[in-house]
Amino acid sequence: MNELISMGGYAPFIWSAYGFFFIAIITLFITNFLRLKKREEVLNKINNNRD
Amino acid sequence: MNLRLTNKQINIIEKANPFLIVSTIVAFTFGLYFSLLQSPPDYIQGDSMRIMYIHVPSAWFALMAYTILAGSSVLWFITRNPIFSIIARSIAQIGMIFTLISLVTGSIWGKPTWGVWWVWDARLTSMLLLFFLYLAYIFLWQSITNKDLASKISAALAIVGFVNIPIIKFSVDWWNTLHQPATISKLSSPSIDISMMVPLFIMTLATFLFLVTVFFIRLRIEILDNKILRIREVK
Repeated sequence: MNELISMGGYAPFIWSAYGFFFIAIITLFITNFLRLKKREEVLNKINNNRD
Repeated sequence: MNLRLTNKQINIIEKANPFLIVSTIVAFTFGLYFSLLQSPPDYIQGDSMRIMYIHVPSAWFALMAYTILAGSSVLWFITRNPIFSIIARSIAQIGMIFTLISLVTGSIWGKPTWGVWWVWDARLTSMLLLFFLYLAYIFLWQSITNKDLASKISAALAIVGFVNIPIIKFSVDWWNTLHQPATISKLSSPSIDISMMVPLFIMTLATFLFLVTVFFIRLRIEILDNKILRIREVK
């Protein structure tokens, strides 16, 4: 376990690179997912108003 | 604006999402296990080489996304089918994020390997240019209110910018760069060991699944935007 964390002395580089990668892709996913939900809400509202 | 997409096609895009999300998570779990635990450290670079498993797929998909962006822009000019403009807009933001990831992870990898965070060599500079091309494309589309004009100008920029893609790919052969030359895409004899090829393959698959997941979400956003616009026009 210690080996995994220390990464042969390269821990700051490896963990910051992997951290950036996952923060970036998760943010990309969440922002777009929320945008989609917002659009669906708007469309539902418009459809309800028409009925 | 008729999208010329059948209901069946839209249905597939909507239904695929849960399956894609689960596959992406599973693939990343396996990918991380192999890249951080199973694969051996490099005999020269040691463990720092593990950054490759996220850096290389990101760079590949940054280039692939731009190729799709430029390709669909060409098809939009030829056919004027709005679906190609939608595909281009959907892939642009994803490509920009992967370019940013590849620049940042490359820089973090560069410090222990080359001793510097950044050098203005051909590969790094052309990758930075790619980031600005994505940024300009998105900015142009968002800032021009006449969307017909915005489509034309942004598509033209995407096509002209494509000249940068072969420059990125061959920069390591054409110029004397600090960045290493291709090791994996040499199909005849890839100079990478199987123990490193497996994690790279799984991480590439996981990144690809993620890209398709977000691409489908973005397509749905654009399709809904189109629907909302049409309803408001009718009103």
